Amino acid sequence: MSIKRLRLLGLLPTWVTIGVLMIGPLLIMAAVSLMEANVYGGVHLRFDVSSYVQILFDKNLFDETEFNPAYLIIIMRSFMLALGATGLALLIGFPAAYYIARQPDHRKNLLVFLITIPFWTNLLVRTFAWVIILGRGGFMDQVGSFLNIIGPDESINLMYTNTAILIGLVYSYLPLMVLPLYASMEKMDVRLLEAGADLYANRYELIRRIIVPLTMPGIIGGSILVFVPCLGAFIAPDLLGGGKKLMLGSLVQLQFATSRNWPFGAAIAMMLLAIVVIALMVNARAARRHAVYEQTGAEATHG
Amino acid sequence: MRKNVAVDIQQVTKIYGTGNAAVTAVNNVTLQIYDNEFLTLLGPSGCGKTTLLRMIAGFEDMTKGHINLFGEEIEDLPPNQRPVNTVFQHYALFPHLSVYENVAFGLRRLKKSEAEIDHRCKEVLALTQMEALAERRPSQMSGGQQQRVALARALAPNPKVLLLDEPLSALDLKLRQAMRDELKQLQQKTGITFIFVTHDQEEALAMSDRIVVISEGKVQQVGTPQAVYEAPANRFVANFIGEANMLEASCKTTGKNMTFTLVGGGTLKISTPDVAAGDAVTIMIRPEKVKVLAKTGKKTTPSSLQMEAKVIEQTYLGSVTHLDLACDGQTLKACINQGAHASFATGDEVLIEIPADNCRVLRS
Repeated sequence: MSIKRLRLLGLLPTWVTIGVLMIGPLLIMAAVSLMEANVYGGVHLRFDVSSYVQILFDKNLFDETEFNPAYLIIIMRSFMLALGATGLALLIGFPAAYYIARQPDHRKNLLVFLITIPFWTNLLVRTFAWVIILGRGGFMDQVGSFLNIIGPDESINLMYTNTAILIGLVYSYLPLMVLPLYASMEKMDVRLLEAGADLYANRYELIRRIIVPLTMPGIIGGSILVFVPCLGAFIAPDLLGGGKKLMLGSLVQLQFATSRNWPFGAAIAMMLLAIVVIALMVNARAARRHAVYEQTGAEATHG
Repeated sequence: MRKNVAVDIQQVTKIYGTGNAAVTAVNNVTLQIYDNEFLTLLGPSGCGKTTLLRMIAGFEDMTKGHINLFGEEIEDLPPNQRPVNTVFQHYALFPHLSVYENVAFGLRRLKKSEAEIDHRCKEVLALTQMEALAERRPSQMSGGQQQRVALARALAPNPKVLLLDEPLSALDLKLRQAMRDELKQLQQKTGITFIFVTHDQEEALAMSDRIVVISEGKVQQVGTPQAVYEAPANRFVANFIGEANMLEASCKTTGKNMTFTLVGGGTLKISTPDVAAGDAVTIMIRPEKVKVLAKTGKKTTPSSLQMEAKVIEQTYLGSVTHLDLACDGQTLKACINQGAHASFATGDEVLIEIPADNCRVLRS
């Protein structure tokens, strides 16, 4: 066997991993989404696009197809909540990451370690903690009555609202925002800030003109890492939204686990995938625009 | 002519840390820097020269003292409100901006009009010969080009004082020498006060109107390049700038002309106001002032001291030759012009002559 063949053989684990564990399931899901649902769960091996139609249209009593906005509302809610959670996480994560990046080395490592600690506990358990905090008579209500914002037996009624879901999402995925932001801020040359201040930039201008452009890779990376899982989240909407405010993730989970409508669940999952891919492509384009400064000497000969 | 004081540094002290860990970086420095002057802060690394520069720029707080800029107190102003600009040691160019935008950065923060910004950017880019590369990114340029951009960027807002923190240290020797001349010309052309920090004594001698020699946070001497080279104030300055032979001696008689007796024997008559009879002193003479003659040679100057010596090593350097000479148990350095004297071989017995006029008496 030639060396070349041997080398290709060495890549086998990679191909198996990508093929069997990633592309395979995706193909199965795509196939399932195009089949007919079996009332007892599972599928009939027949081609049927009704699952996709079902996302936007419904059959009424007279067997006529009419527009049904129920799922569209869920899609919009998912999109807006994911976007909002990403924005909030960026707003909270940016100063946090900057603070960590400016600490002396030993403290930096400690703080990054602390940021990752929540990952050690199950997401379900952590989200449930928020149920206790936000729930009737919970921590938030106690603070509210202590500050006389609400009466002693009243509640702020945060539970089962979009706000509660948003809080849960931001909490769950904040570390995924902080870590990439920290990575780019740590690489940033602090002397550039001195140069900026020397050239009459005030604090706001230093952030706007120097820190933000230079940490753009981290901002984009962190936003993707938060936005994507938020879109498919189902624990926060379930526990904090009380199952009333469904999101795409909960819808998929519902179809597979409870309604036993596999093709419909698969169709929604495919649509979720499409939204993510489009979002990533928009992001990648923005990233390319900002990455121009990383061009090196090779480009210089054209000048 | 009465000179305008640009930067007035009054008893400035900078102490890092507290208690036992306290380090005094700048120790009670008082210094007047004149308008339109090329002033160099010269000293070994860690002597406090960069700290002093950073205090003028506003990046470091002072522990004690005052700094005035054209008569105005600036110590409470943050860096972005001080009318000074800095050329940083590693340039600190903004990697995400083009050369043009780097240069325009300060002007944009000062809210200048677009036309004014364009005019000024083109002007300083022409001054630094970088107009052809205005659209490049810093990463697409050589170190020398980046250096020029850093210079253009700092000059663009037309600062009252330009601070330069070892700007040439990252360049190779040839470029460094070319940039010296260019910096000097730039300073004369713009009329801006330059405060230049370096540890390279050659750079300091080549460019400065005045040199401030700093060691261990203290000013050792302030003077023109000629003054600090030819009349160093103390042993540190003599050793740090150029090469020096040090001869231990004692002072014998008082009067206008004092007689100094060398430890190894021999006397020199030197007129100096600095020392009193009985003082132990050091007599400093530069290697190029030491005359080396063949054994049979004659005294050329009446007031000089003649000693026998032996060539122990010679280093040929093209235009000059350095000689190490053993004389009365110590090693003296001499530097002779090629062709001006007969050449010597290692091991030759020679006569050396130390002219009293070229000696400098330093307190031990």
